[in-house]
Amino acid sequence: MNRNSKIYTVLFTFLISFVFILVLSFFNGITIERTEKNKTLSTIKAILNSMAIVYADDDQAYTIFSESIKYEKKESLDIYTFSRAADTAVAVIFSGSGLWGSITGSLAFDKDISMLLGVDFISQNETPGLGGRIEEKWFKEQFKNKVISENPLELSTNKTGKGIYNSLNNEIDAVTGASLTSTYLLNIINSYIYKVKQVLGVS
Amino acid sequence: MDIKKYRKILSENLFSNNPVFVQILGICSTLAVTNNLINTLIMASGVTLSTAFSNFTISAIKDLIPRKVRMIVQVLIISFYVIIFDLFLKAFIPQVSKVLGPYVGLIITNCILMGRAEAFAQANPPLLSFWDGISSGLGYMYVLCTIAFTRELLGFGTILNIRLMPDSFLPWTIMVMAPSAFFLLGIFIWIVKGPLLQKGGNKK
Repeated sequence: MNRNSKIYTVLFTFLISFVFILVLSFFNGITIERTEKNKTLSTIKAILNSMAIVYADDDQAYTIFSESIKYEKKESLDIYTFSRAADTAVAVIFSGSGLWGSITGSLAFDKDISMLLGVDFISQNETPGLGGRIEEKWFKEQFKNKVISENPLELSTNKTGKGIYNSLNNEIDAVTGASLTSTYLLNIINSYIYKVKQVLGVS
Repeated sequence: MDIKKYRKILSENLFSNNPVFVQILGICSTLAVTNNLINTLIMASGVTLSTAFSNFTISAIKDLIPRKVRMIVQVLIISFYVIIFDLFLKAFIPQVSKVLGPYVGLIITNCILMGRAEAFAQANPPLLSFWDGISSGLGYMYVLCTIAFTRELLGFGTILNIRLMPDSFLPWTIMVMAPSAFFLLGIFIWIVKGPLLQKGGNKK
């Protein structure tokens, strides 16, 4: 058959697309279960991390999550409540736009919503090495035990990029070279602090 | 006979015809992923594997591909391998997939892959094309790693996330930002091309 004839070209294109896409969907089929499991696990871990709950491994994270955490939906907020003996914590799943795409994560409060317990991310598409550094420990640690005051959290850009760890101060040190991502993130977090205060009835 | 050919391809792709500093291809990712050495290594291995396998496949079926749809088929094959790489990362190394995010998918648009497919795999046997892909990938990898090494060391004071610089070291913010890769790549080309050009001059 003439390799440059119209019929051959169309047939060939159709066949080769079909074959490659078939293999791809097969590969997708065998990995999808694992990928989904990874996703659930990363959500669970983010919730636990934000509440500062320590777990040894993936299995333990699952167990703690299924035994001690209750889920409820209140006015469009996904709220997870943790209670074990005297320990309690409330976490809310937040989502909003970052610089490049949406940032989702978990933000945890004590039960009176008077203090943040911490923050952790589920997914973000910020520039790796710049905005993506919001995932780094030093940055997230800044939210730990921040007392919630009348004033929203504010971004500080005049420090050396090492973090501000003063729970009474409402400043958060920006990621160096990523003040936009940091600003967007802080806006998301502030808006969720406001929403949670409203919904959970503590003002 | 063959060994000589393989060695020639290797030295061409690593030095005299390096995809990054001679052909100036793949610059987008050179700027984007080189502020952290680990990301760079993973990205470069993705490029290496995708180039090698797509080269191999394209070369194996090159006699069947109609000329008119040659490039579409090349892109199809390239995306096929890149998506497999992406799925693999998502399923087995989710932490890495999380860090690199959209960059893995963007390997599809890396000019090195298309360049090698069109310039080499279309005209050479499969195994040789595979080797060309691997060596082009390595040529890309070591240039990026050199840049990433400098950027991570000066920008964060770390290498592979291990702190090397003393605490008193003030990180150079510019090294974290994309423009510094331009400067570093420029300096790299300047240093490396000097001897290459001299060699070329002598031949004449």
